[in-house]
Amino acid sequence: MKIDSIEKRSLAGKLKLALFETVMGKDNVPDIVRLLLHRPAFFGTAFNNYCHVLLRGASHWTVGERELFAASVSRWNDCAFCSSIHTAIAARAVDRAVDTPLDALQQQDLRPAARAALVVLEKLTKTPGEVVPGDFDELRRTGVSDAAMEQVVHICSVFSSINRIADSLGFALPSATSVARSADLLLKRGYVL
Amino acid sequence: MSDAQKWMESMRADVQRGPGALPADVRARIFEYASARAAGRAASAGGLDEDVRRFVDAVVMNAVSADVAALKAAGKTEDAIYELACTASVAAGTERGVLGLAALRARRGGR
Repeated sequence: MKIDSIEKRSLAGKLKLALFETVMGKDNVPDIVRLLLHRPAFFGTAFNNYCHVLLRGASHWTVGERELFAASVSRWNDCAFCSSIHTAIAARAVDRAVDTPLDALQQQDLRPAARAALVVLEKLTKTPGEVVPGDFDELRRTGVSDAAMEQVVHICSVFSSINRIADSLGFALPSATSVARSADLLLKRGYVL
Repeated sequence: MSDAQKWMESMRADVQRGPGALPADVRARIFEYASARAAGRAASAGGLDEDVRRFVDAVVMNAVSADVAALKAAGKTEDAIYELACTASVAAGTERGVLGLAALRARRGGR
């Protein structure tokens, strides 16, 4: 990480980090955990809750589809850190090997709505200023609700935010072990620290 | 308002108005500038230091190139850099939410 002071945290934060180190192994705790426990009132608490309601809350989309959306947005934002972990969760969610490449997951037998959502997400991620109402028409024709379409938009919003924090502050790329343990933990426990 | 919308608004408010090393008015200007750059709108960097503007541009367009070392060399503290990175990132990221939801709602209003 490009700033050392990220290691400053409250007593509660220190205890939570110690718990993560016990569960995952000290060297396997990804940098995002350190960031989120640094100053959660500034950045952390709202982000975690935003992620949790989107990726684990009630939804038209399966957990695997939502994690695939997250991994894809991260890839389109060129964020290797987030892309690696969310690709692994998306793979685990559909009982694929944890190291299944994102391309293979995007090309699997997806529901038409999920495929249409990926098209919307790619444009919203890469060229947000060019998005027009008609960009949602194909997705709407698959029969999904307005609430389900809004979830897709929010997944782009939250991951386009964290992707930039990860890359600008220089998160270290997680090891294969860290990716696998993070995926298992996040799939099982969700996003609220 | 959905729970997701509520948390998005909370995340946007925290980085602009929560306690911080950078004054809230500076963070608000960074937020506005980064949002406009992300959306491709005309953006005024009025009042932002040149090194800060360059950093925000990098966060919006190609975050991996954001030059933290240059900000440190210019005398910015690590707390300020952390807040700058979070503020610009949340602005650029959630601008996609704002624009996407506006497009969805425009269609709903037009039906």
